[in-house]
Amino acid sequence: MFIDFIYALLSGTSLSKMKDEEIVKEYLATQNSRYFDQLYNRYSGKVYGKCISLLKNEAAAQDAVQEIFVKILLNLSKFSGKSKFSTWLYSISYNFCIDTIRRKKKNPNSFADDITGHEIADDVDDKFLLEMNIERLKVIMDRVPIGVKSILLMKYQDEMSIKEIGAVLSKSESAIKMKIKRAKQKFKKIHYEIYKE
Amino acid sequence: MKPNNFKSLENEQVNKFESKKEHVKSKVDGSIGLIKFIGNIFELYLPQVLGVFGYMSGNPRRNKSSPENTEKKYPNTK
Repeated sequence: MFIDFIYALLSGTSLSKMKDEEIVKEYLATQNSRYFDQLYNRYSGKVYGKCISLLKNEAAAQDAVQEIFVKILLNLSKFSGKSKFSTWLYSISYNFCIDTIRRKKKNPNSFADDITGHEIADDVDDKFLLEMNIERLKVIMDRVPIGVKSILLMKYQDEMSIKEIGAVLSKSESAIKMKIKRAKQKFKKIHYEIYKE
Repeated sequence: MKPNNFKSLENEQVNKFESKKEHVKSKVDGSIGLIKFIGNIFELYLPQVLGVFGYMSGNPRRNKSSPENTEKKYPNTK
């Protein structure tokens, strides 16, 4: 029993030091659930954060986390390793949440128009968003349309590159740059509407 | 390091999830267990079901008890 404990301790330590991609490789080679548990422990909280931000419902977010991780496990062999594991996981999470909302709204175009029609001449500084008081940030993120919210989360929370965001949303890099610019403008506009600053 | 309150917001949500983590994990394990179980059932019975359909559609089944097969199965016995 003591030996088992030591083994678990040692293997646990080495597991926590392993890169995501190495864990995926080991899981695919051995099918040992310890590896999947490690991925779950690393990312379930972050996936939940995205789900609760986008779905705005506690129970729906928990169900989404469950379904996303089942999907991840079933498709792990399709992970090619071209992108980071986290990017792959987040892209599945965003697309899952967006599809869920689309199904509920029954309007496939409700996202396309999210970031259009509110031009502000000035470009918004990243500092304005990154240094915003967290309570205000929560209020504004709750008010922005889903398309704006997901693109801001990808850029500032997940720190994805333009190319990675483009891959998630199936858009060109120039389209993503434009979407980010408009998302920042929309964010600033809502901030002004609420706080008059 | 630049301040990033989007990250702070994420940390807050991650901490909030800690108490629900195990509950959701058990649901994930349950779903995966069910999928594996269904997969095993298919793996076990599908060839036999297909065999029955094949037989019903006129494909002659191999007679396992024929002397020819027995000889092949135990080549060194009398």
